[in-house]
Amino acid sequence: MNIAKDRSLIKLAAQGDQDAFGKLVQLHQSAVFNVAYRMLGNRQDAEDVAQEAFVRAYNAFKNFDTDRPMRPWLKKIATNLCLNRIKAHHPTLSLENGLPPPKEPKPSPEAQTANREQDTQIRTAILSLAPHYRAVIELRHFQNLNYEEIAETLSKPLSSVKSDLFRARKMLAEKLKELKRI
Amino acid sequence: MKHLTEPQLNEYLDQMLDVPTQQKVEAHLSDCEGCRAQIAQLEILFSTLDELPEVPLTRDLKVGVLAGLPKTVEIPTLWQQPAFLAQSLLTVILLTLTMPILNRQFDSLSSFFTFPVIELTSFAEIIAKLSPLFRWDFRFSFAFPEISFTTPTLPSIPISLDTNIVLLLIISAGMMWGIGNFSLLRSKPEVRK
Repeated sequence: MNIAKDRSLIKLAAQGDQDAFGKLVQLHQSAVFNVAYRMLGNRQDAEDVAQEAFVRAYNAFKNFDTDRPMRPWLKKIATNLCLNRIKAHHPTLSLENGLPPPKEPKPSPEAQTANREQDTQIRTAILSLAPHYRAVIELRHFQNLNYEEIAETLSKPLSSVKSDLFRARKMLAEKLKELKRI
Repeated sequence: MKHLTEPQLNEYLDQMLDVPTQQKVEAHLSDCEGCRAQIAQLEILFSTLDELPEVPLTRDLKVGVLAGLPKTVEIPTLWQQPAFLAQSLLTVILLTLTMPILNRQFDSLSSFFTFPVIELTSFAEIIAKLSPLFRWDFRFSFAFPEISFTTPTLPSIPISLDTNIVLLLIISAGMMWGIGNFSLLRSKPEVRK
């Protein structure tokens, strides 16, 4: 990603240039969608949340420091939207659409199937966690935020974030062990 | 031997410990097999999560996102609005055409009234009157450069206007004013700056 280009697009979009914002959407949509997909496990819901995250971001540009990278901010918005959606709808675990093959280098068909199964197991294990545990795993492991940043994103005390994260990891490790045994 | 606590293990792997504590944890790990096993388990989890691939999007979200954004409508400036331009143009024409008539009317009106002549005291006179009240003496002189003003004269228009034409022009101007203001003050959609 070209940071200078990204920054100039951000500045234009912040001034209300919707074409520039459209280009930013194309640059970051995959990353934002993946946050939502890990949190919700459903492609349609994830696309809806990603879309909503961009609209929210556009409307909140006045609160955003345009000198900072946009992707982490978008991911945080998406994470919080997912938490809100889970609270509102309690979606069922859904990986019915199947998972796509991993990226290059392409493994053999057998390895591909094995990888796909493993990915499904990891995603299923994450989705089986309670939403607040899912959120801390997402923010720490996939968005690389530190404890303070997670606390700020989730508006939670630092101590609570730490205990949630450590507990979530323990539960996730156990669930993965169980799933591998099956 | 006292084992490492769960927070210590996690914070060690997250590299969130201060240097002295980190050194203590490393010293303990070199001696404690149980804690090393726990660290290894967590490391497996970390790498498992790291290896989870991204899922590709099957459709472009741009169209949906842009459709959800508030609509931006460019409101033209006053000078870009045809109604305003027409109004302004008509006003200038009207003023030019009716000026001789208005001038005549004003002359006939002014003959009815005589305004009292007001003698304004100049600043220099006030200063001169006030100066004895103070101990110091003002010697102030200022001369304005001589500027001569000439009243602009309108070009004479070789047409004669009767009252009906003036009335027609005033009605036209009124209509243009109404249409122009309707166009300017009509409800506007939401505009985002």
